[in-house]
Amino acid sequence: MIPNQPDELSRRQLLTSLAKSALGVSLLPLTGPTVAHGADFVPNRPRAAKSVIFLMMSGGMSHLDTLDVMGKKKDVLGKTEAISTSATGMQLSANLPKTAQQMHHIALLNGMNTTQGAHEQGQYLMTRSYIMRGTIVHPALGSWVVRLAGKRNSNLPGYVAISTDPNQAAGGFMGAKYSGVPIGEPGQGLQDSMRPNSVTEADFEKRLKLADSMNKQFHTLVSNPSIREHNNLYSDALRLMRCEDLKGFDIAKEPTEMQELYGKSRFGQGCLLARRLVEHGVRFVQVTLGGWDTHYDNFTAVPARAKDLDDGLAALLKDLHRRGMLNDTLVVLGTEFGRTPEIIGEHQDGRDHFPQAFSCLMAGGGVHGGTFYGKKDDKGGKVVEGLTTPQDLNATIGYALGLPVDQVVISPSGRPFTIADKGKPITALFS
Amino acid sequence: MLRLSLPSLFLAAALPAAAEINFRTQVLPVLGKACAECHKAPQKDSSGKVQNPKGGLRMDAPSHLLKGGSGGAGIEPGDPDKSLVYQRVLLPQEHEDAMPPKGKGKPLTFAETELVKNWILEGAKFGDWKGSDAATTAATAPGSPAKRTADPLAAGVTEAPADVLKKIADLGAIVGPVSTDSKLLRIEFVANTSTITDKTVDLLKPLAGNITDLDLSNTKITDAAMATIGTFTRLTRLSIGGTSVTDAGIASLKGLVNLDSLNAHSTQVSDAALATLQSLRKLKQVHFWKSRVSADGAKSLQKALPGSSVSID
Ligand code: HEC
Repeated sequence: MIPNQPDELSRRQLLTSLAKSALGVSLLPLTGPTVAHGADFVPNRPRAAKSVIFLMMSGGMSHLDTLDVMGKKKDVLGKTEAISTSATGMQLSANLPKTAQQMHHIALLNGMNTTQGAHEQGQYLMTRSYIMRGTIVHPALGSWVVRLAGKRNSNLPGYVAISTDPNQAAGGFMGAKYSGVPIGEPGQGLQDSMRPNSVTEADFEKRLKLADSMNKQFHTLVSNPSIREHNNLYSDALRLMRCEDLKGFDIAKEPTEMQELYGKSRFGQGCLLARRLVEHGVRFVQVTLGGWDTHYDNFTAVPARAKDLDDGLAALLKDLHRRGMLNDTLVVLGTEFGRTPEIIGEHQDGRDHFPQAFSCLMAGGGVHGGTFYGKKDDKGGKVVEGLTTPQDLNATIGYALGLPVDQVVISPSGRPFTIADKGKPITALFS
Repeated sequence: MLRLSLPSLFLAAALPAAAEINFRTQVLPVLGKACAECHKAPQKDSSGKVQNPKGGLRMDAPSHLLKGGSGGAGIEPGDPDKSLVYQRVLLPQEHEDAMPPKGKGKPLTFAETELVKNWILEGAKFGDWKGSDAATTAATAPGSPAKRTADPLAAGVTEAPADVLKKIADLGAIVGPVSTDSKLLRIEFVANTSTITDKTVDLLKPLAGNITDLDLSNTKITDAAMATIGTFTRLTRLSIGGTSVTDAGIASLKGLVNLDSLNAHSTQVSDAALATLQSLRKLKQVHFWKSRVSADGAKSLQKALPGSSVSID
């Protein structure tokens, strides 16, 4: 089912044991060593964005309690109230007061619509542009971006996935080298990539040589192409371990006020790490915030989630802006679907899954802020203008980066795929 | 499962396993002759109008044939029934979907349609044929072609010397055209920034007329590098955030009349630099967060440059 998995595992096991025994360190996670440097990539429009931070709201974020309150009826909003924002004429939910102050950077995508009403399938379509099938794993969006644009910093992974299920960041048929490097706890950064203090540099070099010869022997014994593909792993790992760019992974290097600005939640710290990584040239960073599946007690659960989102997102936009990085960095908020306009009383005022209509947002990366694209009816239940599919969203991300969104990549089984399938970029969002 | 039809049994027996069909020498001539005229990359006709491939289907590269047009896969390896290209040539000439369309060319012969079918059954291997894929993908990306207007900055730009580009790329920089078909360069030093110094910037001198977008954030450059950068007359975007550049460095920029964005956050730049910047009339975006520029200074610069945004936070 997942073609690269069995051999990935043996590869991982091999490396871990080799590295642990020979080097005294664990090299996990693998960092996609052989991915091309982006020097050869030429964007097809001037001033294209350089990096993407994709914030995935996992569980299905209720649009009516967050991004889409404008012109909505009282009975569908329930306890949620609308507040004004830094962009004249635009409103957001009172659950997002700090984000409201950054609205001038944000374009709301209020015409979102998907065909998938189950979590796994919906997330799959949102992050991979194709319907989930048993026979193939389509590459994640981050894998596509790195495949088409290359890395910005050859010392670092091109794609990092923070607090994200590694399966969701898998490179699929593109192979492990395009998978997102998983970071579980933002505060801990890349685990085990530092040279242990007990090993001297010279010793380390010696061990490395030894490991290298063992590795070569292994390669001559096993002629599996996907194992050979990682042939440079040791030199890459070495580079990584010694590299100054590695401090991009370390949010402890940030002053306290910065850590506070982003909020102390795991998501907030994930956003801070995402900013650091992009500053150090990582091409695509995903940060996931779970817990949006508010079937029960929506009006308690959403404000709690929204608090973490609000702290993290608002800080991210503000911080990217003042560092002059916002024009080059596209920030996207995605989710697998929305939630019902009906408030379900038997479930302590819950809301159920709602694929027909939901909301996402984009900011930075050349996107016109303080605007919206697409519109729902006054119940928030039907897209009446600017219908946007997950594929359109992904095509728009590709467009922002100046990628050839029609570039076909053929899977090992001989089938053609593109970054956004048949999605069309919303070019109106850009200057 | 047991429903083996006679013709396919016959075929299996008649086709010796070794004689694999060669796409380039056998199939391509058939498709090239009967189909290519209408199914190729978008072209301008004599009146200057763009002619898109019919049905969205291009047949000038393997990837396009596999992907197909608006109706789905053109070729489905191993499955002629799902390969639109084969299905359309099988249709009787009277059928409105028949290819080539009635009166627009000779229908394929039985031998030719069988050839296409068997080639698909064999897995639709293209061998060494690459078609014109690479040359066309960038140009057909949505949003890119028609919208691109002539950039006045691009006038008179000469080709950047390749050896210099390589030298810089070897330092870990991203170096390349700002967009396809441009000789203007963007250069971004994002890896190993502690090794990027005034000497590195010296290496850029042969590219002085090409560089339009330069990112030196968090590098070790000083005001000396700014003197060199001041000769990059086509520069529109400059990032020196997180460097030790001071007002003296900014003073070197007074000839950069095309500059429209300057990122000087976390530098030593102060209000004393504002007079120089005020003379750069194209400046639209300036970032001074954590520099020594005051709120009043930022405000007055923003006022002096119509339509600009000067931020200190
Ligand atoms: C004179 C122009 C012309 C020629 C020659 C021609 N076609 Fe077409 N083709 C068209 C037009 C117009 C359409 C779109 C209308 C339609 O789908 O019937 C089309 C559509 C198609 C489609 C459907 C694409 C899709 O996905 O909707 C296929 C497949 C196709 N052609 C195959 C062929 C093949 C194979 C040949 C050569 C044997 C061929 N065509 C020759 C004009 C042409």
